[in-house]
Amino acid sequence: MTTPQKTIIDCVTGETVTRDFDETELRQFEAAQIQREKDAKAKAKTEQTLADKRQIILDRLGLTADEFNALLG
Amino acid sequence: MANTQTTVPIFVAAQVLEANQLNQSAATGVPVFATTVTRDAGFGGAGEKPLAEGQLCYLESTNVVQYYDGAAWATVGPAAPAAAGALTYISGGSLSTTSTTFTNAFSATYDNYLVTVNALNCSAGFPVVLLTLGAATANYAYSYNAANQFANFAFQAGSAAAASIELVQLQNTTSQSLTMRFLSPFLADRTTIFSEGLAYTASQWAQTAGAHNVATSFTSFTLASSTAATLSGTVRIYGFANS
Repeated sequence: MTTPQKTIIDCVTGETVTRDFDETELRQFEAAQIQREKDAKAKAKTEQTLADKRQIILDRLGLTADEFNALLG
Repeated sequence: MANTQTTVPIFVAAQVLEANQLNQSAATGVPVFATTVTRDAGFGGAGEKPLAEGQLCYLESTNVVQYYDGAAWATVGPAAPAAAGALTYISGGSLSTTSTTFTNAFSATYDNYLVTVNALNCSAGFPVVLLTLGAATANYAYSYNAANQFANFAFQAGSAAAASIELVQLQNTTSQSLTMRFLSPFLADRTTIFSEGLAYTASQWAQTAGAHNVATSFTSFTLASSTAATLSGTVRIYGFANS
């Protein structure tokens, strides 16, 4: 993978510097990506659990999701 | 005002110089006018000095010093002061890499700031634009809400202890945009951020309310991609006048 780059713009002088991520930035970037993947998986799991519960209730009622939404208006 | 005049007199040989004429023309040095209308009427009339290149004046209406360049009046300075509550452009720059830091963006001059990003885009995928302040990589809290009018889609996310603040999720296309309002970033106080973004993803319209929860004075902020994709866009930073 190409090393991500960082740009630093000084709002007073207008000086602009572009460089590769340093070791600390690269470590933080990779850790953040791993955490985001974990969070996304946990969120998907939670949503699937809720969807399953919803379907169980709809099955008991004998309604489709569209029919239930129509009832709610 | 005590120095305001309506004419710049000129004298002819043997004319008697009255005290009020001396007070009006010599005492002020640079003639002072209430407005540009009285300035223009103050030259070239009967008994008045013809307007010529190099003439100076001061305008009370805008608090500026002007010079006549032979064809028109130009302002020496200061630039017309901003009206109370107005926005003042501070600086800006372009996003072109994965992460862009704007240093010396915040100062004691303004408590609150507006940042706009036009033509926001990414090089690939669906990265989220992340915001951090100074060198802080912790203590951010935020709520992120997004909606898509076509799919009746609603998405909510947030964190009480994050390493950055999520602003908007992008797609590799054109004409996406973002605005942010920063409250008290330079003051040694909690910094709060309110943002709105428009993208062409499932989370098309995104709103974020967030804060850095430790009283800290920041002078810089960073906009970064959550993936290795590069961001592009035009960033402009404005300060809200304090009074």
